[in-house]
Amino acid sequence: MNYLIIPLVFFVLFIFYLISRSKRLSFTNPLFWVVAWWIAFYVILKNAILPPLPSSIIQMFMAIITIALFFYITADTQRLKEAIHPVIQFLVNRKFKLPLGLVIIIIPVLVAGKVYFGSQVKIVAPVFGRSIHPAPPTKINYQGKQLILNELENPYRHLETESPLDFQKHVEAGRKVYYNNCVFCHGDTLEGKGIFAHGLNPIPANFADVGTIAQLQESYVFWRVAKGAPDLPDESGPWSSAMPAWEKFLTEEEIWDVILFIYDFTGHNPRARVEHH
Amino acid sequence: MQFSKKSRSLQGSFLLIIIGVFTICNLYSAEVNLGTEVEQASGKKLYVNYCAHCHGIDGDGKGSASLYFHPKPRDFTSGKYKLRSTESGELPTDDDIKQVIKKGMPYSGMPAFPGFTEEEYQNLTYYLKTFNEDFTDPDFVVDPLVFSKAPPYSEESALKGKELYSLNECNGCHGDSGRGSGVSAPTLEDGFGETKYHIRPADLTKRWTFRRGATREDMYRAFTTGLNGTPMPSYKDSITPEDRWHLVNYIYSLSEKDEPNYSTTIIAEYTEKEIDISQGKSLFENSEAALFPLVGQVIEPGREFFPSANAIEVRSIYNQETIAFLLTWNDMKADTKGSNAPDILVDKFHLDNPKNKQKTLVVEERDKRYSDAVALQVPSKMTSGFKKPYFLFGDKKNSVNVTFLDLANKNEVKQYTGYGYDRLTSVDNHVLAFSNYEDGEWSVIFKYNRNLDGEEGVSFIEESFIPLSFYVWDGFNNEHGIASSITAWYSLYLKASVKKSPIVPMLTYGLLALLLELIIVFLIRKKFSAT
Repeated sequence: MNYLIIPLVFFVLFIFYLISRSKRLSFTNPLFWVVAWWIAFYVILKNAILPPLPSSIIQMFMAIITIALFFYITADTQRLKEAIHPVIQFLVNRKFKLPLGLVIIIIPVLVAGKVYFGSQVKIVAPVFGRSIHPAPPTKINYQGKQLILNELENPYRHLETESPLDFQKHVEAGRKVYYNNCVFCHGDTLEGKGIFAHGLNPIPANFADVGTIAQLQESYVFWRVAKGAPDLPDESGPWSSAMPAWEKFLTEEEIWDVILFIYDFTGHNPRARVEHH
Repeated sequence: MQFSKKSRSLQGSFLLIIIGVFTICNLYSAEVNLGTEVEQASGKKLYVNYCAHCHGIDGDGKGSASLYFHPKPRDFTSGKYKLRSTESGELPTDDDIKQVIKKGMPYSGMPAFPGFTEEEYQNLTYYLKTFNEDFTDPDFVVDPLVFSKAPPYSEESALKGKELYSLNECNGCHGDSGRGSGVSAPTLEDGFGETKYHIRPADLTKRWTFRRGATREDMYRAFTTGLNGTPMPSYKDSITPEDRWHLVNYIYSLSEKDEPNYSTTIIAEYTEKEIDISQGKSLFENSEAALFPLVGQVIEPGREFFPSANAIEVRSIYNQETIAFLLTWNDMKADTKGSNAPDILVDKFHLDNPKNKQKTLVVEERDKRYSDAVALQVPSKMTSGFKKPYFLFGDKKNSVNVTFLDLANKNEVKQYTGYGYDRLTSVDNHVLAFSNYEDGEWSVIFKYNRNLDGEEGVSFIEESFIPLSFYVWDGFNNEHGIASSITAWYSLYLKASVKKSPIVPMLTYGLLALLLELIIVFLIRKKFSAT
């Protein structure tokens, strides 16, 4: 539905264009069009995109658009003259004395109002922008042995093609591991909506989403499962993550099984390793 | 041809019987609807993928994950369904079953599965019905009761409901204030299978936790149909529909919203006065409550999968030297026997020891060992940026200060320095505490020195965000050591003691804007006034 806003905005602009052409009204002025385009872009960025863009991103885009429109006007002397003509008239011409006076008063009042309401906002702690998938270490110490993540592979993955029945056994074992351990946070449907999810910050990962395990190699997932929050780098806020270090609870086989299960259940494939030669 | 009168009437009655039998069969065949084998088979596929790990491959409620849940997953072979639109003791309709799958049961292990197609819900329902033979018996198939929309809410009605609440002895289980702390609450058992489990009366002050839902219609259905397999009876025959709506309106008035109003920041209000904690809760009347969700500690060995408390409410006030926190949470029963501490080794009653899995959470022996307790945690010192100690009792590099009160020993506040859940050391402290249990609610006050010179850990400085988190232990639920309920890190903010007037910055920025305008107008006029 939201995407329909894009053609709608352009349709409105087109209507303006038709009116301005047929009746030769004053808003054929480039300044009008610059403002119209600016608003149109803002409406599109704000409303047409799902999920909604963060306000910082919108501000960034609008800054670029402002600069582009500024260049559009200033690139041509004639156009620039045309564009600023009404503004200058407004500031200089005696017949606009009253509205100009009003504008001069209203703007400082608005500024003061903004300061006032800015001081009334609800007190909310600043939010920590954590890195969700930080760079993994090159090797980890797992139960006394060194595992080099770049070489680590799921030892049961090959069964998927070689022996589907055995593969299924590992998936089923992983299912049991999942529902006896992971379900409380990551939820029955693996969407991160477990019964404890609302009390945790950061919220548990949603495995069904394309942005989590679908983007990761199984070795990375093994690292995250085995080592949990304590092994996260600072940019990921290890102090708040409730992900346990599952090496305390599960065997190596159980961890690989549960990894098979979460890919199998969600229908995602692990990201393939880039071969080095 | 002629028929005798007799034969005619015989013929007539025969016809009537045939019609009668036909209609009855027709009626029943319309109601006993078990689906085709193909539909059941496709329902089974869904069941195996989404349900069997808790409800068991045979529908007996004994899936491998059932050990971890409380309340227990439903045993479908019993035919006892809590949420129905039918009379007490009867089977549910297909729609009743589908509704539960779709919406789940909040604050229990039953999640919502909103993403299935209508056909999938139906097939899964067909399959669930195969677990109990009564579904195939036309005698047991019943029409749902008819429910109307809720009449408008009014305070008079809620007040009438309040009278009916005690008249019908709802308080016996749900407690005088509805917090689920009635005198018989600790002895209640479910009735789904041979093994009886303790069952908690609903906390009526949190309607978002109601298994059926938070609307007034949902509550009315609960009163009318009862909850099969639980001690909650049907009041269809003993309370008139009008009175049931009064009761509904009373229960509705006990919670503010349909959703909990969870917060992230505690705002501490400044007071000129001396803080005398023996005054109790009334000290905090002017400070805003912050509600935080409590969840089970399932991170370190000694896990608590289903803690009793689901939220803790916190208020704070401070003066020149001291700061006080009021912590309140609902608890079915004050457990003041036994003892508790965060560094008790978690014993065999907990689930990490596989030998004892079957014994856990059985009603007997759960009492008297561990007392209720609460703790407030802050970092030992403020760290730069967003960095904090690990939220569960700190980590090796950054420690936390945990102020702990065992409610069996109310006068002795303990303080621990935590470098991890297994590295807690008891330290001296100057924290004062006050505690009170009343009508299903614990209230505990901790009073700290604001420590502005930074000698004893964190300084409670005005206008800064200080991380803090909480732990609650319910003795009745065998919570002890690190088997407790926990919160994430939240923030404390001490609202400035001297309220700053916005007038000065308003004037400054307003005048600055005016000046800028005048300069622009002046410059442009100077340049263009000739044209």
